[in-house]
Amino acid sequence: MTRWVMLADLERCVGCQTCTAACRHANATSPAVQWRKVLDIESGTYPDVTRSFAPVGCQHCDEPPCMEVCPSTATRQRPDGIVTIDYELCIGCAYCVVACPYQARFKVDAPGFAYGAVQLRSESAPEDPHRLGVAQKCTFCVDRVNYGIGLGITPGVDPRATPACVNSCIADALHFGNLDDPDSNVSKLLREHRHFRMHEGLGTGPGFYYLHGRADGAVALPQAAPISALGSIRAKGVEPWLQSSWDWRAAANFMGGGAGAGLFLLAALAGLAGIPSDPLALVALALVAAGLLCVGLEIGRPWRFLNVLLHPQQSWMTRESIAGLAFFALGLAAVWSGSRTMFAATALAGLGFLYCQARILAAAKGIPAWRDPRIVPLIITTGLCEGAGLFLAAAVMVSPLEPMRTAAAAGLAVLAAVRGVVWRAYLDSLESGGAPIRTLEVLRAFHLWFLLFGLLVPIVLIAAAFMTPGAGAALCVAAGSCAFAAGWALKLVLITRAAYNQGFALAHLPVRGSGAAGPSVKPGWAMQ
Amino acid sequence: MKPGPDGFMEYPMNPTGKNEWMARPQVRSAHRTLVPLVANSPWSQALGPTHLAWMMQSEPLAALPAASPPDVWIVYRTNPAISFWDTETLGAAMARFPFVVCFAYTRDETNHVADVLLPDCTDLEGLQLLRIGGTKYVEQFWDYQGFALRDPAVPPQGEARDFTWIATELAKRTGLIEQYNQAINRGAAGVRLFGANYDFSLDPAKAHGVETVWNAVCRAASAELTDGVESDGLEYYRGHGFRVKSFPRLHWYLYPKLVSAGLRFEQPYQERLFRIGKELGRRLHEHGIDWWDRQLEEYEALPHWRDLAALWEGALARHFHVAIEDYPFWLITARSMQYAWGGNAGIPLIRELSENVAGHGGIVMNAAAAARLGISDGDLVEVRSPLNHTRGRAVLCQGIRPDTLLMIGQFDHWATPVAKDFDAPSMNALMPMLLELTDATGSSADLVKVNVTPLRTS
Repeated sequence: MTRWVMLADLERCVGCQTCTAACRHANATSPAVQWRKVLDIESGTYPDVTRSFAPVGCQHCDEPPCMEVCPSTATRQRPDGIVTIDYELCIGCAYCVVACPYQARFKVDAPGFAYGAVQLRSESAPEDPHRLGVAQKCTFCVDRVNYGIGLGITPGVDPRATPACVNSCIADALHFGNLDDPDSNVSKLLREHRHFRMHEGLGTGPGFYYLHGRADGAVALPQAAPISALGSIRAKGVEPWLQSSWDWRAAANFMGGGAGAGLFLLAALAGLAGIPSDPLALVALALVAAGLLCVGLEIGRPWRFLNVLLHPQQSWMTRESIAGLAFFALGLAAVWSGSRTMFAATALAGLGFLYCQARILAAAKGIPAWRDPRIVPLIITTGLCEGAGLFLAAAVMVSPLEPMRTAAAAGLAVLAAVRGVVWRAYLDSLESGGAPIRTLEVLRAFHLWFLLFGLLVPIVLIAAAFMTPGAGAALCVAAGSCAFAAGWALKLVLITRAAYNQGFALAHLPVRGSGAAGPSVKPGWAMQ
Repeated sequence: MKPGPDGFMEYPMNPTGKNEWMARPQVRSAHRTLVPLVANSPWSQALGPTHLAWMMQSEPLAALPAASPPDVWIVYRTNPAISFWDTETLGAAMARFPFVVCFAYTRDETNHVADVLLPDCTDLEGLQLLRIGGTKYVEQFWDYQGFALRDPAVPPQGEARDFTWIATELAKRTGLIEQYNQAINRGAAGVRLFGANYDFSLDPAKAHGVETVWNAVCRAASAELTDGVESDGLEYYRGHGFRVKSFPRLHWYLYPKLVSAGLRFEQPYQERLFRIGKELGRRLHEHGIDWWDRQLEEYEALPHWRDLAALWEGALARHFHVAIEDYPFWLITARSMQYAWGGNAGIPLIRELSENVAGHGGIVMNAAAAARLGISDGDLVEVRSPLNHTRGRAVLCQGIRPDTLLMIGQFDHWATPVAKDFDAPSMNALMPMLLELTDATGSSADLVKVNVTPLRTS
């Protein structure tokens, strides 16, 4: 068996970035697209300060979260562990980008040139057009590895079959080889050195090892005292930064999808109660459609959209698409036929769609604010709450729905309360489990606003509506609108403002000269 | 390594004896007159007090001949207009030079004043055989030594010509072709073209093409590596890229050689240094030169500790008539691994890579010291020395002394493409050239006292 892995000796790396340059040249990536780069990490407080350099890039994981989420099956894993991307299948949804906790994936929509807009003669063959609008990342120079295997030479030993970054390393810090061969270069180095893998707790099984001292050297300092506080560390490019792959268009999908699914459920319930609600059902369908249209504007290869259906075995995005198709097909049939059964089936499909949306976020391992399991009930309850808010407003303004107003108001109050509880649990979970400091700052700042307009104000308005029948209609519209708007604000914040990525961390600082390896470093994180 | 007459390793110091000392310098840096330690190789001027040559352009030194500007100043791959101390004074001196010729592959701050530009190839376009390996003048230790070919990867762009073509044309047009060829035969291109059992010398009377010159150099290199057994030329290197022979690890170090030759160690008591210092002092005083007396104090057999901080502060205070307490920070520089000597400052990829390494493009400052001054990371600040001032963005970190600022590299470009848009500060404009701060070897340090003022927050 073969398992290709890479090793970076933190004691040897000098941070010269030669590997970065070699990778940029060998793979002809666009400016600023660095499949391999070296982090410059300073830790400690003057005068007790350490500076370390750590090469990073795709970790070619045993359990690649990027592959699991990929809806098109463009991301695959070879039997030898190398994770590949089929540029012809990829739709450019960037789900893998937010799923990767190593920030190793890029999406380039237009070719870039070294001197800005001017294309030099040497750039007549710029970015591979097949790589535009799709995900790209380090391939472990798979073409060189394949070439070497074809020639019968050993990747990692013969430079012709070795990744460009390893070949170029001036300090002999980078190594490549077969982990399954006990006599390989990498197996020997791993036996001789203490080592760790980055973010090992996330269960990805990275194929990238960091050496941090001789195995027979002093025992490394325990990891119990991580240096994590902002301000004590120069951490640009190391601490988590706000993801930019999914913007308001992606957020709109969650906003329209949640509100639409919730609204259709209540419309179906009204239908079951014998109250005609076709217009509301159509509005619900339109909301979901608008959300999907928005996210369609974000993907890099929209004409390949059918590829989103290729990975139902694992990808929640594929499942969302299938649920969405069922939702639209059943919903339109329900409105056309007026069948209560069809309405009920559509509502179930809508709930499935909403559940898939929640699971989409939960599967994004690269974004700590999303991968917390409590995001699932939060997204579902807020979707229902948004739908209930819209329904209540509609129950005031659309006379046939008038009989549902009291029940809708009471239901909204209950849902808002449940959402408030779930939100608190979600926030507590992030606070206690560890999250990027910036994420917590954003969510803490949002917390009071959300409780005020998403919970307190709607409940007070609904209570007031019950107590003052004369103004009840207006108060119900205000309560519903408030609950709905708070839900949309929550999603906008979650997707576009609180979505700081994982950042980078070292389980141990390297030995410097002699002595023990240092403690762990995880800049930009609030740890418990 | 050769044994000297006094039992130490021989070192070709510039003579200080009464009848051998060079009282009248032949070059503007006066290295043979003032600095015995830098010897007299082609590299010695750069090792000696280079800045004296620039200082004397505006202020003559007593008992030395007044320094005239050069009739023709030829510049090859150097950019002193931004890379030397006190760039303002230096630029003014350059402006007075009557005729400036610059080899150039891009516009820069020095060739901006050139009367003639010689369009030089870039390293990807030109041909050259380079020595590799060994331990002399390189920082790495190599198991091999030999030669590598830099073969053109792309044809020259525009009017660019190979350096060898330009140099040969200059020699031909100035009537120096014979001396030019003889210099190449003696090893001016990196390899002597003849040896005990080989001779690939160029015909001195003829102007030779680029490939002819380098083919001869390649053949001599092959012969040098094989004691004349092989004589493969340019085509061999084009096919193989390089040729090396083993370099024994024992040769990495001087110690075994000293032991085998039975030589005395010169430390800790540096008797020879003490002696030449005394001799140099007598020669200088005999000729009325007393402005080098502080440097003469450094010729000690057993060096004493000196308060260098006080030396610096005192010199700056006296020269600029300032209260040195008003300049509480030491400003230093460091070479960037990505930019090396700075010749690649116009390459966007290098800029991109350097951004992965903290400190490029700004002023590195201790976070606590910055907080005391109300400076946050990324704030625009002004840094002022007694000589001049500059501005840049604060880059805060912990790993620097609270009383020290760091400006990496020398990025005061205003003409070089790409680099002129860096908006990165350089300490060069802030560094005075002072005789008082010149040491006995003719060097000084990239070190000056400054203050910092926040201009606006980021």
